[in-house]
Amino acid sequence: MAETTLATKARSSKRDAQSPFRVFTHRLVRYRPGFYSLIILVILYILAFIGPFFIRYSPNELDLTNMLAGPSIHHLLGTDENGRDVFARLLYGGRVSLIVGLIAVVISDTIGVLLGAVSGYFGKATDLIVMRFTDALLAIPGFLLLLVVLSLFSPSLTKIELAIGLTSWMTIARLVRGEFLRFKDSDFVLASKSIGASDWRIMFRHILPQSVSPVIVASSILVGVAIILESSLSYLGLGIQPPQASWGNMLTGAQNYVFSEPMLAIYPGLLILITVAAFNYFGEGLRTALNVAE
Amino acid sequence: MARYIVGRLIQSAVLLVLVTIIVFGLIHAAPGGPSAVMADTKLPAAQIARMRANLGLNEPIPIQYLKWVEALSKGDFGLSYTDNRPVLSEIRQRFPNTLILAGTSFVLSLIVSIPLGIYSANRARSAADNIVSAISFVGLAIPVFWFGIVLIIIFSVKLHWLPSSGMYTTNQGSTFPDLLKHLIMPAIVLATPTIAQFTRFVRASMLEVMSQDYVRTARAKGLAESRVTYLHVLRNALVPIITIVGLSLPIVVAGAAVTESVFGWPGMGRLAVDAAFTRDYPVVMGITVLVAAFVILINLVTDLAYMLVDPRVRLK
Repeated sequence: MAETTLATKARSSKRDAQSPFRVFTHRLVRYRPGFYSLIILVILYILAFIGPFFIRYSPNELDLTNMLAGPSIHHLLGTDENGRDVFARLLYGGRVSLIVGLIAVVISDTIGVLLGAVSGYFGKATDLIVMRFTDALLAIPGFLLLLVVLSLFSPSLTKIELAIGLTSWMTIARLVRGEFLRFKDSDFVLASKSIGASDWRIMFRHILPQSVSPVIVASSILVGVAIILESSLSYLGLGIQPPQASWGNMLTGAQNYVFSEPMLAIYPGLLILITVAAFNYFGEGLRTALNVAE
Repeated sequence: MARYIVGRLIQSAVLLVLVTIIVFGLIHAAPGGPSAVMADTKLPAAQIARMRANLGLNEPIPIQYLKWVEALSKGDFGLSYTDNRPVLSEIRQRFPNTLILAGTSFVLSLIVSIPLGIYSANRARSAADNIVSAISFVGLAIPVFWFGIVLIIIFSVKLHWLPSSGMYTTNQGSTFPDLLKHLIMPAIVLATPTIAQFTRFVRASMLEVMSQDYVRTARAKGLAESRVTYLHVLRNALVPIITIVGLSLPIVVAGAAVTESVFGWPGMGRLAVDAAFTRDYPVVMGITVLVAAFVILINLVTDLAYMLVDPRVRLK
């Protein structure tokens, strides 16, 4: 991958302050909103994945004698309508949102890169077919496409990751196709061809590393979009099913208690907002660091 | 030019056909196909048998597809599973409500984002510009349903200023002021992501035009800065706005589905969500195909409008 080659380069020329990897990290740190966002994201992931080992409540443990309790030493953020610890549920719910975003984007990237590469590199009929298919999927608003898919299956974590991944690869495909069109007639491709490199080798060993930057930037933004999609679906009851907690479905329950316990509805949404904004700002940071045009 | 228009028309038709193939394919890609979904719903066996016959589920898939498309072209979108009513009449009943909500929020988006975009472009990289850009980042990241609930907490629960759901107060007839009161919160919620997106777009577009030679010429010949901004820059900077109408549609559709559910707004988006919930897939399919057709149409219209407004596109 590009990172490893850049990293070896950085090591081999320690005195050279201008090595690409140094320039990248320097720029990434210098864009403050992006850098702070990265720190916030690291903290959120640590809290969601390691935090639950340090709290004594399970997220689904009912305590019917202690419903809708306010914050206390026992329950840091109080309890919900079933007497479940809100803090514990926020941590476990975070696991769902944070993991769904990443996995959905890995799926999107895989499909998008493959189709975009094939389309841009081979051109002609292949390009025409793949791109018309992409355009048609883009014409169907993604959320409706998700509703169609989810009306066919009973939802589960894996199915939601798949559904979001399978319905949001189109922008990546277009991006990669554009990059491949740009590079496919360049000298280094001609050189590889002349020494008999196979098409696949040229595509994935030579052209793809050149076009990886815009994909990384777009992916960071896509993670945020995927998290919003998952939480919206879970809120509507079409995503993660209770009792399993997700930031989205915690709001469904909380909505019935906005009159007495409005804070129950505030926490999960605020966490979604912070996470998504952080991914967007981090994406902007990557954009400046990798020098990708908007 | 005529060639371009004809080409664009053919392209749109091809897209529409592909959309129907994708939607039809999705339904039939489900394990067991539509009949499995029906078996899963709690319908009497006799009704399932009748629907299987109606849908022609015993015929080969391509024939089924052709029959489905033929029915679609006649406006026959099939019957809803939940109440056996024609899908099209359900959609037709809900469509005006969605149009009111989406239309209001669209106008609101333009009214807020154009001045805001101009303002921050004129003060690019200043503190004010940074604040506007921070706000638009938040606007893009805010979960629509949560923002709706927050507004309900503030304006319905705490202040008692606005009703928290529905389109009209029950038992009070349908008056315009009443509608307006119900419309304010959902319209603001639905407009938020588009305001953020449009503002960034207007700002970027203004900045791009400002770097053109003719703007420097205008300044060089001593025109007032406001004249340069509003007469020279703005006119050209707003042309790309036409494109964003088409581009923002998918966001508006997703937003409408969620917003209508939060505020109990009886629109098409909520119909789609409810239908997905009860696995009433003829309704979901019908709405999806119609909305996609609408998106394709809008993109066609905006492309043609762009061509009329910007002669450079015509020359390409």
